[in-house]
Amino acid sequence: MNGYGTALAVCTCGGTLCGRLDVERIVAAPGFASALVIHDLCLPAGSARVASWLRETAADSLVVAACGVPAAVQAVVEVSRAAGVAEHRTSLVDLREGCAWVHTQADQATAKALRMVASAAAGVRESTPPVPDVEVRPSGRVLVVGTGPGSLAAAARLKDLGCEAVLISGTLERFEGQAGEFKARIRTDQGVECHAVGAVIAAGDAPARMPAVQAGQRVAFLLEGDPWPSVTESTLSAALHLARDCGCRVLVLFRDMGVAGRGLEELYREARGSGVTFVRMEEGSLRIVEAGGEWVVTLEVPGLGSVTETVDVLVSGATDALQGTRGLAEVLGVAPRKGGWAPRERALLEPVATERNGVFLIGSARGPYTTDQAVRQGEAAAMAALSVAAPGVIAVSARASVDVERCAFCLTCLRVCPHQAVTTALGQTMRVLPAACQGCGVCAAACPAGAIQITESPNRRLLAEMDALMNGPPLGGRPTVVFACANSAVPALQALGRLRLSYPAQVLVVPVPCLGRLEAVHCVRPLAAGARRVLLCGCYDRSCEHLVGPATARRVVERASALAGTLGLDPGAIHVASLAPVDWHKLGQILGVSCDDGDRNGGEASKVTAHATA
Amino acid sequence: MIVAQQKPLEDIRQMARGFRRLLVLGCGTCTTICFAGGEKEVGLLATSLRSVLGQEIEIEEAVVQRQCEWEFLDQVGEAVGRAEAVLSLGCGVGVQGIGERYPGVVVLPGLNTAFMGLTEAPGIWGERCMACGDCLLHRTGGICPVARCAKSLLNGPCGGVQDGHCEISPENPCAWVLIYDRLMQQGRLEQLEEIIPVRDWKASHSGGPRRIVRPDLREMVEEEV
Amino acid sequence: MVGAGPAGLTAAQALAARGIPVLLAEQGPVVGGWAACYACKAATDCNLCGVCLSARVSRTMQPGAGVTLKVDAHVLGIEGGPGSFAVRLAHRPRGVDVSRCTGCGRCAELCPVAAIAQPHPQALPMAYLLDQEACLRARGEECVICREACPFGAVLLDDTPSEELVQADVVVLATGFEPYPAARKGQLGYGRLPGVITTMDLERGLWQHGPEYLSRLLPGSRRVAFVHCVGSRDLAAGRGWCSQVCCPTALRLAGRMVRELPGLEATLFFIDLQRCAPGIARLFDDLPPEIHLVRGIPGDVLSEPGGLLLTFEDVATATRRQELFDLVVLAVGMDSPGAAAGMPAAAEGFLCDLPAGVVAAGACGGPVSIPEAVGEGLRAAGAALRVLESLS
Repeated sequence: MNGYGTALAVCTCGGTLCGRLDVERIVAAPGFASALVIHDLCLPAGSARVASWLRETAADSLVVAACGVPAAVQAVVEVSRAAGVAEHRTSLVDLREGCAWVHTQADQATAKALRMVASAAAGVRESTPPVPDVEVRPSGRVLVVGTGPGSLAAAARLKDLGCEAVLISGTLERFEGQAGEFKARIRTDQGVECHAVGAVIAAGDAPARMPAVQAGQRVAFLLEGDPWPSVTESTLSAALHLARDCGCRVLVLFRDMGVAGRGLEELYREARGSGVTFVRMEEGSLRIVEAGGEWVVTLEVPGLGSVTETVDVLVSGATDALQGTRGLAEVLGVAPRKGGWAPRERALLEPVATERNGVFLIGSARGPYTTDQAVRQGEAAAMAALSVAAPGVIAVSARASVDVERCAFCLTCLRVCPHQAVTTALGQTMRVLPAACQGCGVCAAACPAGAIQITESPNRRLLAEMDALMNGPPLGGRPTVVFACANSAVPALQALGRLRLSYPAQVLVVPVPCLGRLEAVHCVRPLAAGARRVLLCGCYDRSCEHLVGPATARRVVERASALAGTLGLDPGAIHVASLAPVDWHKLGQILGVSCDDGDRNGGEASKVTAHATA
Repeated sequence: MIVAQQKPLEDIRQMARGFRRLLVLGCGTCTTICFAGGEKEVGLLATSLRSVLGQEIEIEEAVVQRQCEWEFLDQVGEAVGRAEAVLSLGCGVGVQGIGERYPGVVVLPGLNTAFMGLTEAPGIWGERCMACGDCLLHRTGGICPVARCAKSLLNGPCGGVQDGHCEISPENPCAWVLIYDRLMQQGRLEQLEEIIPVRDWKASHSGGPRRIVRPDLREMVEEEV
Repeated sequence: MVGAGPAGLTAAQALAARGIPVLLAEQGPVVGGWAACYACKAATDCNLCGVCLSARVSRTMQPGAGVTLKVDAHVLGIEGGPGSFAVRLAHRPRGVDVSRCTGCGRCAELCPVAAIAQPHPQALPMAYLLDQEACLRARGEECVICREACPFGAVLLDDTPSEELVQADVVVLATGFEPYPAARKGQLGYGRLPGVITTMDLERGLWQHGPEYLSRLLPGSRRVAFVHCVGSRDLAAGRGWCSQVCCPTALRLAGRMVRELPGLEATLFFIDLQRCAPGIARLFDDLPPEIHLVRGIPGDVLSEPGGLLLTFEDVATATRRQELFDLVVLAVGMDSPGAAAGMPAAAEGFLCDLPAGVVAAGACGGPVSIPEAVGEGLRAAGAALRVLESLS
């Protein structure tokens, strides 16, 4: 059905957008085969009307200018399906929160709306059909590494849920593949075994910490360093047992008692009540001397002077007990962060996930967690693993693909991918594993040959959309281009709209899956086309679920600024900003609105509280 | 791979000045991999040149699989025909390949070809081979003293080793320290007791430009070039 | 599924993804629970407080993805057993039809007494709320401005409470928590002294107004005290447990405050500083010089001419000290949300020993952080699925 052009539907949200925008000018936008004004896209009647109109126009692509609420997104999907327009040939423009509600001057808002609509149209014209879905057939087996309580809880839960837990005794040597179809090679005393598994749940083996003590001995536990709940748990259990059941005299020296875990405070209280002596150490006041198989512990206690105890056994709370999980994390492709726990700390990957889909870390492989926490994480991870490993057939859509004819095999994509989603094998081309890929676009930006396309925003489409946005009716000033990360800046922008906070109509927004998607050329191109500023708004380093987005963006901005300088453009015009999806205030400051919404919205939110807690 | 680096924009601008139609031609193999002459570098350089050279110049962009193959170069014949000059983002072989295929067109080198080497880490390339024509890596633990020693010493290091590094380029490790460590790791230190005799450097570039002729392969093509 | 905080939302989505139809009942007007009104507490980098995680859990609730969401729905009673639960739901009148409201805001523009409003700018559902007490009709006037103005016929002026009986095979309780009522500790002055607030107030204020809130709270003032363990580790207050989240929250809030307001000094008063939550160890390692740590909990807060006077025992030096502050933030602990539909609870009030077929998730079973609540949601989904498998 080619050749019928692009259709445009504009929703006025019950007519409420009409005063803020010149809707007639927008539906008369050039380049569309047919146009329609509706008032209620997100309600069943409205979407049905758009569907029947679209069928009549026989257009092969569709631009809908409405709002960004989930119901509208859903409506566009249903409408295009009903009218036989391919999904990649449709585009939804957030006219309401992204334009009408946030600009006070109707002429400027209309000019911006026209650019947004033209940009969407340019985008659908440059779109390419997505790579067909790939079928992944998990066998229902999940590899469980570790023998602690978390691993056992995970294994038991997996069994309950119809999966097979593969518990191993040996060393995981090699781990490759993608969620649903991993291959694991394990070295045991007997040799090497290989397993095909859909997911892996890994916990460290918590070292046994019960010291060798004889009944009636004097024991001191030394808890230095951070108050780890896991160390508190094992120490207090041992101390309580020795004092209560073995007739030992037990001293626990500590700085902060780490009781942040269920039941720990109660355990602490019980130990105190059972004769364990707790003495708090302060900086530099502890002295330990070994003398004839005994330890003399001298402590300066504020207000009490000096205390000296002689003990037979001194147990030190080793804070490096969990370094052993580092090697495991490396094999699993989720390298540890500097100085501690196995997974990189990322807000959106808590509490059990890692950057690699289908790889879950729990218990002592993740942090200093107690038995109770490890068990709960194990059960949570079992449920999470089910979504990728349950037996059956999963259709996975490819979010990135490699054009093997352009690929130069430089392996850059394989090196930069934060999700272990790019692979190659002897005699094979580079391949993106669809069940591992999370669509961030870091590989596409890094590829020197332009051989990787992100399904959601192929480079040609992105450039076409940007160019169309930069050209069009005047906005009353030089534009500011904002690249908005889908995880942070896009929801924050939407909140600004819902609050009707106004910012200049010269702000033009280009959504991207992650700031790591961007290259220097994307930053410089708008400047060359007359933009005043280019802003890359995304997550913080530790809230970026793709790990490297903000860091990549900072490097790209450095390069783009240098390039802008050589081109005679303003090298100081390109900036990166980090924000959270809930911090629309910060985005407002960046875009130049006064974000103090005053009493109007203050009143509203307090009412919600009243309502919620009534 | 052959590793190259883009010339400063100012040098390229000086070279390209005066031509009215320029083809910026990238290479899809070695120089793509070392981020010097792939599709994206071609695009960025073309954009920069349009900006610094202004309106008087018309710039086309293209990338071939390898500039060192006649068949690939034939694919851009039309674009080369339209151009007064071709700015090659290939290595020195590519620049000369274009010149030999299209003797009528001016070829400009956009890159400085640096060496044969590998990617040590993303963004770092190191030299590994000088094509001396008489490989002795089996005797040196797989580490080449010809390419990696500033003096190409064949029997142990010079007296200038400092903390395991080269006195000529202190940022580089001394090749002979590397060789020693590797052989020790392999338990083959006795290898070092064999003296490598003075070499005949005729097989290297010192013997003049080299050429290899393989009659067996020549029989596969019917016509003589 | 009772309760649509991070745990309930996660559990609902996880079950729906396995093809289980879920009815999610939330007593409030929007999903997200308390976490929906928390502020980002990033200082120079994210400190992993989990607010963006909970925001994403809310955001990914797609219409028609197997979860039927009922907001303003309160559970009155749960009867029956696995495979045959009957849950009685009471619907609180919202005054707006959630399925028809598009959030256009015409009603709010025209309401003469601001009685109809959107819940908050990232609310799900975004449907507006009619405050029937503020409405002119509560005073006997015949105002129908909002109903007439609504282009979609979504305003229900005569909305009344209703009840509904729903059938379920398994029940998941994710009813969350209540913050400790700080006013009960009268000596700390909450609700009595203007400069005394709780961490919940500070979270909400920062979320709602941004950094502006701080300068509004603290015009020209510079000294902030955080008092930990208010309603935690306190047998006298009947709360022996450690609430686990308040130390990290206070540290994160202090970190953000000293970044936002140059010249501000924050002092944390604590018993044992719990600093092992994700992201916190880093914050603690690079503790800004403006944050001071004092071991010892102030006994009382007095209003003096120079500010709020805190008297405390400094454990490190074993001395009794007094210090003046402009603002005192009480790090309140987590309490149970009260008996959920007659379900059994431990002495502290948190749910335990639930009958067969009923699963607890999240803070209603004991204090948890946001990431832990998300994990609890997954765990409970697994437990519910296990019950369902045993039925079939």
